[in-house]
Amino acid sequence: MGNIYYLTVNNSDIIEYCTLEEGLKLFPKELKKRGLWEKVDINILGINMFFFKNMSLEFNIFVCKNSSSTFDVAFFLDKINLLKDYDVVFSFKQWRGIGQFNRRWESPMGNIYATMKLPSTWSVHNFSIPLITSLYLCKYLRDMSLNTMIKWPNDIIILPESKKIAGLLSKDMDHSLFLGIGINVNIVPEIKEIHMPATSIKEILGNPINPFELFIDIVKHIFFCYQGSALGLDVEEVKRQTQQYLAFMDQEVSIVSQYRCLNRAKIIGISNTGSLKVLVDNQVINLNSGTIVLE
Amino acid sequence: MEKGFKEIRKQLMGKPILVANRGIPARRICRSIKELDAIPVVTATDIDKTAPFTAGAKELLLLGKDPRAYLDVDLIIEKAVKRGIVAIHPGWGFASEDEEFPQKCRDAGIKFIGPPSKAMALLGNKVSVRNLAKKLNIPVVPGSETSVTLEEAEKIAEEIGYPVMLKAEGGGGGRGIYEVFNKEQLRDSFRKASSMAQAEFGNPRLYIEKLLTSVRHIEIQVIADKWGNVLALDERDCSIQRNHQKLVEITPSPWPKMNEGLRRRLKEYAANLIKEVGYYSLGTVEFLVDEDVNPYLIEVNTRLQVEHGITECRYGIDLVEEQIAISFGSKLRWSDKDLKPMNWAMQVRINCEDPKENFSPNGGVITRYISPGGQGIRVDSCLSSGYNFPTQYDSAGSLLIAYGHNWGKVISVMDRALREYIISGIKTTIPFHRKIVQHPLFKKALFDTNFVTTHPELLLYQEKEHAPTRLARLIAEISAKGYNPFIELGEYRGKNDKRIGKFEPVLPDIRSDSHHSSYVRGDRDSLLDFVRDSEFIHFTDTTPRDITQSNTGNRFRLAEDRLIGPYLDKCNFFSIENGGGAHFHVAMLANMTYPFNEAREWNKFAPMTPKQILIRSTNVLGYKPQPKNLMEITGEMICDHYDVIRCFDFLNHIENMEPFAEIALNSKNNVFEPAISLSYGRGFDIPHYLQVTEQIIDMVRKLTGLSSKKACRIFILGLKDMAGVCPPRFISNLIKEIKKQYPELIIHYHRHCTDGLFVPAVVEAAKAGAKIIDTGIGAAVRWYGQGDVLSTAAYLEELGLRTNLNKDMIKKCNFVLKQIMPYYDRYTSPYFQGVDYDVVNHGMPGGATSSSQEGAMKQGYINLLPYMLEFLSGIRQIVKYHDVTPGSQITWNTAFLAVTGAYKRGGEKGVKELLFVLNEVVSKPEEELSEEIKQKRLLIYRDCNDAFRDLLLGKFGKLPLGFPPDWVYKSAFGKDYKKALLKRVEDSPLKHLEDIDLAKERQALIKELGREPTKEEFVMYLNHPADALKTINFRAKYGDPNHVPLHVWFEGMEPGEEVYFFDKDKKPHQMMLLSISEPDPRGYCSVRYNLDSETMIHEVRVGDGVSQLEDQEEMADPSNPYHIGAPCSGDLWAVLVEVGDIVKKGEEVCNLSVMKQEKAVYSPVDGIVKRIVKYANYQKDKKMVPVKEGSLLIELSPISSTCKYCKKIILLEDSRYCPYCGSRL
Repeated sequence: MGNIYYLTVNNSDIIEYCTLEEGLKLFPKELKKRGLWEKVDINILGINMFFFKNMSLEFNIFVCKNSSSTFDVAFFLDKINLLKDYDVVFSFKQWRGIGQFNRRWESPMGNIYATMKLPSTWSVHNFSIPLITSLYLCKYLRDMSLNTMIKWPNDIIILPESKKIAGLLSKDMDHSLFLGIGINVNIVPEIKEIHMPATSIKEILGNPINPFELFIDIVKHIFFCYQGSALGLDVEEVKRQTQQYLAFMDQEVSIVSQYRCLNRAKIIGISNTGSLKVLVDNQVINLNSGTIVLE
Repeated sequence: MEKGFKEIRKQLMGKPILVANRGIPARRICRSIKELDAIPVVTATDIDKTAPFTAGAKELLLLGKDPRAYLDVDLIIEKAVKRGIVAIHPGWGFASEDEEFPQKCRDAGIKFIGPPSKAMALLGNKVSVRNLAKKLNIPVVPGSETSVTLEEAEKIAEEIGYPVMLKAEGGGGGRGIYEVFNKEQLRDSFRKASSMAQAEFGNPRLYIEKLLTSVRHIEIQVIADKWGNVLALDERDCSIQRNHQKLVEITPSPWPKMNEGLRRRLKEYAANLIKEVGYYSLGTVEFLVDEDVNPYLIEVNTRLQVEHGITECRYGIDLVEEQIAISFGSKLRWSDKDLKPMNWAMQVRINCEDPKENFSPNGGVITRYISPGGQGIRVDSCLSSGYNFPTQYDSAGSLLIAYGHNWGKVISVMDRALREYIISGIKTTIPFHRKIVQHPLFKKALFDTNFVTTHPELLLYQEKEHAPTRLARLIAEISAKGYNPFIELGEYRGKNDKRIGKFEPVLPDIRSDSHHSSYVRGDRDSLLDFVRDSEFIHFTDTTPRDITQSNTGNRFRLAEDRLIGPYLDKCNFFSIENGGGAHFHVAMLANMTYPFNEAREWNKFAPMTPKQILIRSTNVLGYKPQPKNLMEITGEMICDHYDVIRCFDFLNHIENMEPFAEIALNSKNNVFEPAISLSYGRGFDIPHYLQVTEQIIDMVRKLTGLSSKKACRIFILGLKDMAGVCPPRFISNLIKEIKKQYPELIIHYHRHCTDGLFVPAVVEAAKAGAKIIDTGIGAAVRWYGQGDVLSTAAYLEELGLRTNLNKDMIKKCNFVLKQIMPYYDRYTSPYFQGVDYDVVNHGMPGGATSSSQEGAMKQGYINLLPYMLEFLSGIRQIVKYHDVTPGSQITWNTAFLAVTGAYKRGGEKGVKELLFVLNEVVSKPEEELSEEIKQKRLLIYRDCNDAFRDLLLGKFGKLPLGFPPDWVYKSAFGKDYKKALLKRVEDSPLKHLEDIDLAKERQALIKELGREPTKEEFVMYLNHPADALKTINFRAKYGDPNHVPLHVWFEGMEPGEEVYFFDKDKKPHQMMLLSISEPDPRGYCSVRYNLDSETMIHEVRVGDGVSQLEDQEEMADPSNPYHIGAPCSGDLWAVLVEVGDIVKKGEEVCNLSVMKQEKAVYSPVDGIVKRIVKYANYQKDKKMVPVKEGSLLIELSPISSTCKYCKKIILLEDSRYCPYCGSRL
């Protein structure tokens, strides 16, 4: 069974020091009512942990108030064998959030920043992990009445404005696979730091949401979906569903890569490995990289 | 029993004699066997079965797959016995000095053509021969009597004095020698030398000798029979060596100190040694002779030597034949009395090595082989055309001997022979030998064994094949591809596309025209006086420059300049503008021509008319500011070749022109023409330009000490209207005002016809007082350059102004151009042609108009072009400067990056929003702008590059209308903008430029070229290093492309087609293209052609290969743990290590992106980064490198151990001793 661990540290480059009392203020009241915080007798490299039992979780969640990035914390915990498959690291804020190609992911308090460890055997399925996870996340958010679609391969956007609401990034690190999840729950980061217009759940639905609570629900959902897929991925079914929620399907878009701009590329679907299939000048091309330009 | 030669010959007739060797020795020895009427048989491994050397043998003794089988004496004898071989000659190298070989042959009943085992063993051992020498009072190099321990070595070294040599007892042929210069080195060197000796000779024992520092290597060839007859022949001087390996051998020694007494002495020593041990056959006794003419015995070689041939040439004898006869019991036929030397002889060893790469051996297919001949030449070679020279054996290719009556003759014969000797397809030491033979010290015979080491200039040469051969190869390449890949136009046509056809221009007669130019050269004052005082409107012709340089495709070659130049010279132009700006750069970028050489040629075929060049103030002919010392060198070359020097600055920061102005104004032969860059818009009004004019005059006054009025008489004021395309009336008013204030000033007006208003504008300028205007010849006029001369002149004359042009000659020139232009027009980029009045808004000048837009189009942004141009119109009103080089590039890049950046973020909607904001900013005053617009305007420059930021900081100079508002800085620099505001300057960038280190740059160029550069090459390199090297290397590889006919230059040839061309000596050559094959799986075509009378084949890569034979991506070897390959196909975006880094197993070394999934790649082992095959740094340059699964990314080298004493990491190569502390590992 899994627990929630709250991390405080005395001396760390990646986790900010704060007391348990300060940290507990961040958790939702419901959570605090449910159980008792116990101090874990673990003192590894200056880390103290307090865990919250009986959460009915199948995996552990490690929580920081503020960290450099959840990727950093996840790598660290993995190296000292504290992280198991499907365990997640969550941080209320990050000071050095990582996006694609080590770009900055602006991470003020109020949103979800997390990294999940996935079994390394996932990579043998040969279907893009960010894309599958995008599908799961997209479906979850749609259930919240958000009109989400997948902007290939790893962004979730809200239609009709095509504003970004979530992003995923996977890092395959030898024996471990990590998936970073960033969701704009209450805050829309500054326009300069992202490359497309963005929104947040709060902006659309109107009410603030506790990010940690939402996070637990989302990650349980993703875990559940993963468990199903891990038993045997039905590639055709995943493709069908992904295409169902694929933004700009059957539309002509421009796709910009570092090499050139493909104009009037019609998106016609997803391949068996998750690459984007487009029709350009009557020729079908499978793209493994590129950015869809919004019109 | 003693036998005579004839008897032996009879005995050997028809008998098989085996040469247990390969390559050169096999070929050479087979000849003697054949001449004895015996049957030459040669050993051959599988690699050598069909090698050229086997042609000399009647039969082969096949040794199988193992390349080392030549050392397998037992195998050889076994096969020889089966074949019935009567004698074996071991040649040289391989088993030739194996002491057991003679005995084994004897045991098998086969004659060994060489000395007996015992004598071979005695004389072949370095230590025993020393002892023998001492016994016979033959001087030896001071040293140990036997092999020594380290302690003994130290003691002896102290006695004999440093420097010393440690020599492997089992070594020979110059191998296994370590030089030690002081006591501190000895211990370490001893350990290393012993390890190497063990590894190489199987015998770790060393002996020690004094290292004689300035010595000659002199050896004596000896031949002895079994009956005690010994003959010592004249010495061979083998002093020219490298790493103790002989390169050149000469007989007799040309050393001035060589004398009969020494010769006699050496011969006596040699003969005595041989007699003492009962030696028979051939042998060589080697000595070192010091400066004081003291000889020292070093060793004896008990075999036929590589250099034996020069002795044969000296005496006219066959040593091998004699050796064979002796082995069968013949009496030696020669003696001192009857054998007299006749010739001098020299041998050079032609090895398949690249001297410039530390003489590293190379193999490969020999594509062309022509050996020298004629009187005084002997060649012993194992090469032929088509031979794939193997890398499994030594690099000896051939031995070239020259002989003649005296030393001088031998040198000239050898020099001539080396020139004739052609071996193509692999690198050889031929050019290196030419340098030796031509060296003055060599010719004077003032060399010792250190000659090669102490004369590094021997490696400064350029290896060039015969010029027509190189040019033919160029034509073959263009023909195979169907387009010329060098002119930077991409694949503008295909091999089978229709051609324009042969270029065979009809040239109108010019000789009958006895016109003389009105414009004097070399006398600035007279020239300017004439222009000022005459009533004419004068013309500068820009056909060779501005008219023909909108992109690399239409820039005329020197070949075409040569056609039109003589006509232009007689048109009575004030000047011909034939140099400068992009024209200078494109000479190297696309035409592979040296630009100053072009200028020189112009002054030969068009000597009358003054020549004009355009330069950029601080950049002169480059793209960035030049420090003073560079400007001076470039300036010198400019003043040598050009009369009128037009200088502009895109900011009109006149101070930037000063250094060049000083050079030009100080020359009474040259005319300095500072040009004001013109734009039309708010702030760029007449008072502004009058101010600039005043600054120019002030500068001239300051530099010359003249009064304002006198200063105005010694230069021309240029008005460069190419960016803003000013309205005719504005130009008229401007010139009138300038003339009003400075009536002495000659004004030269330059304008483009892109907006369609060329004639009205230049006519207004002329009417207002401009004395010189720029035009082009009609047939070459296009939309991006100047307008036509004759129509402009006609209109001027209609208005009552006078011209003094030679119109008939202009028409003739026009006719020639009409025949040239179709080729350039066809293959110049066809996009965005025609007059475009919109240029007055966006201000993109001249050639940049089409080429920049074409670039955007080809990247897929055609739909964004109108927005980019609109953006240009807007930003020109914010940061104001003139869109001439480099300003035009900065402006264009800013627009391109801004619009494409906005597009990537927000699509077309994003772009429109950006333009809306821009429009608001430029159309409304600051106080009327809303806060939202003020915020959004910060996005305008957010994507700008460093060049634009540098412009804002003042790094190019002072902006003409001052710094732009602060928000521009905030937009361009982001949160660091305040720092930027503090950093900006207004003084000339030249003030902050330090002189470049010319000596260092020169050394860098020497290193690149491998030879001394010419002055011109150096200046080219300093201005455009990459393209200069491209041109220099192109010229070395292919020759002068101006000899290629125009149609062939663009279209290549078709099979069956013939072309004639001339080389630089005006020798005619004919090339006929025979065939072009279809591409093979590697993507290569074979092009067959006749060049003069020779048929040649050249392989040209025309596409990507289908299979993985050659030129494939380098793949990681899965069994090699030190190869880090791509685990999957994807985009490499980060490499986290550098060469030399030590990495641990499991350490991340690079990262791939695979469908937005980042995949770390780890080192599988501990190692040191040896090579980074694929590199990327996306964070820095936003570029990723596509990689295929399995392709090699990084190569490591192993770490074998760590020294337990000093803890340093040892590479495997240094495994026995620690190279840092010397401890045994």
